[in-house]
Amino acid sequence: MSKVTITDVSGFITLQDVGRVGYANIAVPTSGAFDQASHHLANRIVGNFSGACGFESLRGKFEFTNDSDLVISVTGAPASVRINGREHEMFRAVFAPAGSVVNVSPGNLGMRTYLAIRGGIIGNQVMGSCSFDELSQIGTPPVKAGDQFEIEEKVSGSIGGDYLPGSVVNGFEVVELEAMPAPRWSGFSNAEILFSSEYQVTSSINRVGMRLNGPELVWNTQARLASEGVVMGAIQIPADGMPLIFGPDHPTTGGYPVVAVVSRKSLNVLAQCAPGTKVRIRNAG
Amino acid sequence: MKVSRYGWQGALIECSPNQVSALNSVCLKSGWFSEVVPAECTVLVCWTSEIPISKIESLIADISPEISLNPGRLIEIPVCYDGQDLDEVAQLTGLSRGEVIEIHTNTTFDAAFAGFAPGFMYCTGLPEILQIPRRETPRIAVPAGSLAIADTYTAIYPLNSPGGWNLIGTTTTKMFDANAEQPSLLLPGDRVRFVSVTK
Repeated sequence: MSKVTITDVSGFITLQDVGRVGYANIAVPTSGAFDQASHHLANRIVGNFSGACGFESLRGKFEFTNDSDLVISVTGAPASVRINGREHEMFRAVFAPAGSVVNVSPGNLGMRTYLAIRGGIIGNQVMGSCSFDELSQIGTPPVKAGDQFEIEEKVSGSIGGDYLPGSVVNGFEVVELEAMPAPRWSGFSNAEILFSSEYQVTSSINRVGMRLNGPELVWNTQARLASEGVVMGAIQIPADGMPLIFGPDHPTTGGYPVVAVVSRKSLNVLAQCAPGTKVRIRNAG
Repeated sequence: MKVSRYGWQGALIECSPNQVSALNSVCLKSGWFSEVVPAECTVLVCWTSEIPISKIESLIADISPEISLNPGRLIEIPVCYDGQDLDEVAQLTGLSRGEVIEIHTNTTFDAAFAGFAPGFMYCTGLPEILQIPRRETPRIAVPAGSLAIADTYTAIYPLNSPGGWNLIGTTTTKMFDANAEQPSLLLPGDRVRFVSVTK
């Protein structure tokens, strides 16, 4: 079986797929690629099944060598893709002959870059997924220099010859997210401001959740809310009144009220929002 | 009971605490849902292809608090009552160490819901006399296998983690193993008894 050897890593690079489903009742979240759209696109370009495991790089730099011919694709946040020093385009299938040095270095826009290898990467399967879950600390540990990964031979179709550019969150324009009011919506005295105000992505962001800054939401009762189940995309309002949007590695239950839920499509966009990005939330309920 | 839409792929069912277990098992048995997440007085259900709210309402229409379901599995967990906070618990409750242990081992608990960490199961049924608040300052590190009480709950920390509950004992039983076919020893709906053992 062919394999790749990681030769250099800086930053937070993990293996991700579509995650693990059915374990929220034992407090294990779905996890999986934060920007599923970019992850799927990378797989589609190289003819993989959509659940194939690939790299997710949080503005990290990584380099690997391969012992046999590979076809790769890179999507998501803009990055420089070099094979043996030569620059290649993202959003395209790229051939890397055996013995290549493949280098991916982050640009200045977006947050997460995805790299798929035709056939799929074999990670450490835990509870049906290779995804590293930052909250539970299970799955394939974050990638480090010296790691070796075998490449599977599971493909769903031919290599896509088309150039399939994705959209890029540039950090200058206001990003629009869609959300649906959640069951505790009416427990807030000013829930509507969520949909009428501008919020800003803070630097407290990871795969567990993303804190926003903006007008404070006010929970109108002093009574303790009993802990209840929480979904990916839930906008929880902790004691400080500032929205916290749960990502793929979110806690499965929580005691702070959830005002609304962001769509999966909007989470893909949010996954690419750097600190300082302005967002508006539209009521799509 | 009230069923409300919770995002594009879920619904939250609100109920009384004594209906949670019945709701949980009815929702699981239906096979409709990708996730069924019980909590204190709610059950969250998630799906991958949409299920109308009205269909969920009819699924749960027959559940009453009095409904008698097959009681969950009874799981016995051997515990050495040697927790760091046992003396303090005794002092706070006005009981002796022996009495704390006796009351705890004579109670059948219900594994009600999970949260906080993989396999961390909030078990209800803690007798009122043992109900004491969390510690003022949480510990940075609580070892895996620590048996603890706080508020109306008892639980075992499945993994090394921070924690603010009162530690009363330890078990060598593995509570969570991500590589096992069934990763969590306890599932919501199980009944739990703790058996006192010496090290």
